[in-house]
Amino acid sequence: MNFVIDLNHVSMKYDKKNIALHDVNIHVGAGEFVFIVGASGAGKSSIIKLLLREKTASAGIVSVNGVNVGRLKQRQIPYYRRKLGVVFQDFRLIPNMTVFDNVAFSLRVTDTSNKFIRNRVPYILNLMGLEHKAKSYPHEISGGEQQRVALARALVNDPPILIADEPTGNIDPELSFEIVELLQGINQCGTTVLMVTHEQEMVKSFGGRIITIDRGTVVFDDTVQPDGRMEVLR
Amino acid sequence: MKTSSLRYLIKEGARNIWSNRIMSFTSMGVLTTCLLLVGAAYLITVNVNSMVRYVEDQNEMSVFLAEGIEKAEVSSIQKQISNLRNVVKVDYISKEEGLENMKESFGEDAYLIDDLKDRNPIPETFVVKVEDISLTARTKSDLEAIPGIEDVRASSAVADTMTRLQQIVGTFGSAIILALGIISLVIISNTIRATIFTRRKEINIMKFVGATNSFIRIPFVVEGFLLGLFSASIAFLIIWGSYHYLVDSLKTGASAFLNEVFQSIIPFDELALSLGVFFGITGTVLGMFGSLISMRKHIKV
Ligand SMILES: Nc1ncnc2c1ncn2[C@@H]1O[C@H](COP(=O)(O)OP(=O)(O)O)[C@@H](O)[C@H]1O
Ligand SMILES: [Mg+2]
Repeated sequence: MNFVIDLNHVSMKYDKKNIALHDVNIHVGAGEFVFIVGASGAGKSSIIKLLLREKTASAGIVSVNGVNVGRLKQRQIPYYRRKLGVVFQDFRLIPNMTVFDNVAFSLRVTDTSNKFIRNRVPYILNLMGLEHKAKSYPHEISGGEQQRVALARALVNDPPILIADEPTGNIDPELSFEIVELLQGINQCGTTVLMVTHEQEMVKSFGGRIITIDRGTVVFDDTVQPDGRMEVLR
Repeated sequence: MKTSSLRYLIKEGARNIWSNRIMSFTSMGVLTTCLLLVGAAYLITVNVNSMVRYVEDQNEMSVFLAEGIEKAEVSSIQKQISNLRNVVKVDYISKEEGLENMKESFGEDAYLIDDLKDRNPIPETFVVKVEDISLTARTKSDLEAIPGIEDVRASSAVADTMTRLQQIVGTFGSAIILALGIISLVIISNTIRATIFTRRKEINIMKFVGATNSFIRIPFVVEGFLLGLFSASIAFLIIWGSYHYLVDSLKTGASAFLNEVFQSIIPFDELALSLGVFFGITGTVLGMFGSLISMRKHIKV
C-alpha cells in the first residue's frame, strides 16, 4: 500500500536537551481519518512541523504524497505546502484582512485569477456556514467561526491532505464536536485528515484510528470503536 | 505572475500602510526628519559657498590718493599696487569718473550735487581686487605704506566673518551630517525592530499557505517605496516653505551691505530639481531597504 503520510524511524530534536521525537513510525493511507493524541509536550506539534517542513528530522524519512520532505530545496517548499491544508489551535488568520480575503489569500498565493477567486471563495464559505461573515474581520467573529474560516482557507485549494493541530483547543467544548464533525465530513469527500489533540475523552467518543504519542514515541496505534477501550501497544 | 496578482500585491502594500498606520507614521517621521536634516545641511553649505564666492568677487578695496598728485606719480602708485602679492586687479577711477559714479548712485536726486562740478571733492581712487579674502588685513597695511595713498577702505570685517563661516560650515557641517546619518540609522533600525514583531506572525501565516518569498516581499517593497515617497514629498514641501520664509526674513532685516550679500542666496527654483531628485531617490531606497530588512529574518521559515 502507498501511504500519503509516511514517517519511518523518525527522530527529531530542537537541540541537545530537547529531543522531541524518537524513532516514530506513522503510516497513513489515502482517505484515512487519523487522530493523534497525547499529553502536552508529547511531541504532537513536532510531527506537524516535520510534515510542514518547518523543521527537518534528525534521523529517519518523512514522506508526504511520495515526496521526501527532508530533501526539499528551499525554493520548492512553498509549492510543497500548497498541497497541504493546515489549521492551528490559534487559527492564524491575518488580522487586518476580511474573512473573504483571508480565505482568498491561499488562492492568490498560487496566482489564481480573480474570476476564479470570486466564485470559489463564496462557495467554500458557504460550505463552512460563513457566507454572511465574508466582510467581517477575524476579531469580529467567534472562536468557532474563526476556526471555520481557517478551515475554509485550508480547503479552498482542494488539498489532498488536511492537517489540524489542536483545532478545538481554543473553542468551547460544544463547538469542538462541531469542528470534528466538519473534519469528518471533509474526510468523507476523500481528503486525508490528520487531527492532533490532547483531548483523549473527545477522541474516544468519536473512535476511529487513534495514534497515541507519549514522550516522543508512538505508544498506541489502532482503530477503536466509538467509546471503545484503548489499549497501549507493546 | 499574472497582472491581476501583481495589482493585488501592489494594492496590499498600499493597504498595509494604513493597517499598520502607527508604524507607518513613525517610519515616515523618522525618514522625513532624516531627509530634512540632510537637505538643510545641503542648502546651508551651497549657500554659504555661494555667499563667500560673492564676497570674494566683491572683495574690492577702495584706495584713495592724496590731493594734487602728479599724473606720473599716479601710474607709479598703480604699478606698486599691482606688484603687491595678494592683488589681482587694479582699476583707476579719476576724480571726474568718481563724481559721475556718485551722481549715478544719487539717481533722481543728482541735481543736489550739480554744483560740485567746480570743486570736485572726490579723490582719485584705485579699486583693488584681492585674491585671498583672509589676507585682506595685511594687504591693507601694505597699501597704506605706499606714499601718496591717503586712505584704504576694505570691508575686512565682513570678509573675516564669511571666511570663518565657510570654515565652520566646512568642518562641522560634514561632521554633523555624519552624526545625523548615524543617529537616523539607529532610529530607523529601532523602528524596524518594533515593526518586525507585529509583522512576524503575518509573514509566518503567509508561508504556511505556500506563499513564495517574492510574493511576500512585493507588498513590503511597495509599502516601503510609498512611505519613502511620502516622506520625500513632505520633506520637500517643508524645506521649500522654510527656505522661502527664511530668505525673506533675512533680506528684510539686513543692512545694505548684507542685503547685497544675500543677493547671492541661490533661489530655490535652481535647487528644487536636484533636491527633489535626491529626496525622492534617498527616500524610496531607504524605505524599500527598511522594509526588506524588517522582514529578512522572518521569511526563512
Ligand atoms: N521551539 C522549541 N525549542 C525547544 N524545545 C521545544 C520547542 N518546541 C517544543 N519543544 C519541546 O519538544 C517537546 C515536544 O513539543 P511539542 O511537539 O510542541 O509537544 P505537543 O505539541 O505534543 O504539546 C517538548 O518537550 C517541548 O518542550
Ligand atoms: Mg502542540
